[in-house]
Amino acid sequence: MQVLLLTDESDESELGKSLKEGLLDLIGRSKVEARHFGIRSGDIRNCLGCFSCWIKTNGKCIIGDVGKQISDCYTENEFAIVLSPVKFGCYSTVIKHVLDRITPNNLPFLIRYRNRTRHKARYDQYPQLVVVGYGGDTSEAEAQTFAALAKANAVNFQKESAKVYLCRGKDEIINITGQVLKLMGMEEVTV
Amino acid sequence: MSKICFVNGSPRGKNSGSSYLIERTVAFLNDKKTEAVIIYISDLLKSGEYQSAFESIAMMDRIVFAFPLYQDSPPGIMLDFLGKLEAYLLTDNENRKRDSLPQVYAIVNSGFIESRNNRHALKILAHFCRRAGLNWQYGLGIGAGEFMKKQDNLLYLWMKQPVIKALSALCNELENPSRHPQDNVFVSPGMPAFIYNFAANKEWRNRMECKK
Ligand SMILES: Cc1cc2nc3c(=O)[nH]c(=O)nc-3n(C[C@H](O)[C@H](O)[C@H](O)COP(=O)(O)O)c2cc1C
Repeated sequence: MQVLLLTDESDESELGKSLKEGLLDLIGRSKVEARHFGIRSGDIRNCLGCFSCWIKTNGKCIIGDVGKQISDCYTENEFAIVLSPVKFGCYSTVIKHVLDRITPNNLPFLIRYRNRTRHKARYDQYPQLVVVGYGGDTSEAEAQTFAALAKANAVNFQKESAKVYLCRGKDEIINITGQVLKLMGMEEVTV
Repeated sequence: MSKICFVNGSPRGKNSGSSYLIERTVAFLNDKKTEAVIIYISDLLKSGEYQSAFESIAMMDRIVFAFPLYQDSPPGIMLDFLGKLEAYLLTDNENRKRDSLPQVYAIVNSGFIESRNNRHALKILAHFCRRAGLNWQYGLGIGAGEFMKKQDNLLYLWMKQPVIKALSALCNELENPSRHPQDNVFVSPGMPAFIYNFAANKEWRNRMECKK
């Protein structure tokens, strides 16, 4: 099974590092084939809002950096796992740049679905979005905004909803990473 | 004379719907009572000169962030800016000495006509204010931003009225701020979603140079 894993390498928190290591370790011992992009702030440019991907290039971003690589392979995966620090109830800047940059995977056309507007899909399949936010001092209100946002993102990327986890401390890592693996239909590995 | 700073967080800078909404609001302001400054995050990104922008923002009475909705939240460049501004406000001692920090408002515009889609972005701004020690007041969530940017004609002006009214109310608030935070306001141009979507799709088809 092909899985996309996105992590923020600019974030130097102990919690973030341990969470990433824990997940990579579990994935390494399972049958999951993960394509891991660890992104630093200098590696990725922001979306320019130019819409070239929609009107000129058939879904390819005109900026040739890691953001384009991620966008180009996004729909080849069964799952997309996003690990992000929670900042003001949103993602970190780096992860937000990535999400903005995978917009080319939709068509610009607007359709109505369950009485709401959404974009027409460019491809037949999209990965199930799994979002793991982390932060020791994330408030309850921020956690709620984060979860609601991740679910809205999944709808924008052609899924019914996202699976969202919030990790506030190292003691939660084993439980959360185990649940993520289980979600992908993999056996939980006893550590 | 109160000082108001508009921060344009669109990657498109001056050529954005956010810019149109800022200009509309500024036009309503009484220039004898208020002084308005506009900062473009897209310009700061190019110059890297954040310090003077932060110093001027900290001295303002009110700040209005105007930005587009990207994936149901503020664009990456807005988040980057908010993170840097937070760090500046929390470390600069002069700011800590001020008895009243600026009041904050936001104008978020989305591509879809559903204005309520902007709700998460407005909450994120409120969380930022709490962390940075600023006073969150309220935000406007505006649907069909690409339509708002279109040049005015009689029909369009009529359709834009609900949004223009909300901007005018924001202007009143900026001139006479309330003491407490208000509820966010969600508003779109007056037309049914299916008509907006139909027109938008027709326009996309016309603009497309690649396969349709
Ligand atoms: C990367 C990207 C993501 C977007 N995501 C959304 C979205 O989630 N919901 C929405 O309604 N519009 C979305 N839009 C459309 C913009 O919000 C819309 O075009 C807006 O009017 C742009 O405002 P501006 O000109 O001030 O930048 C997105 C546009 C881009 C380029």
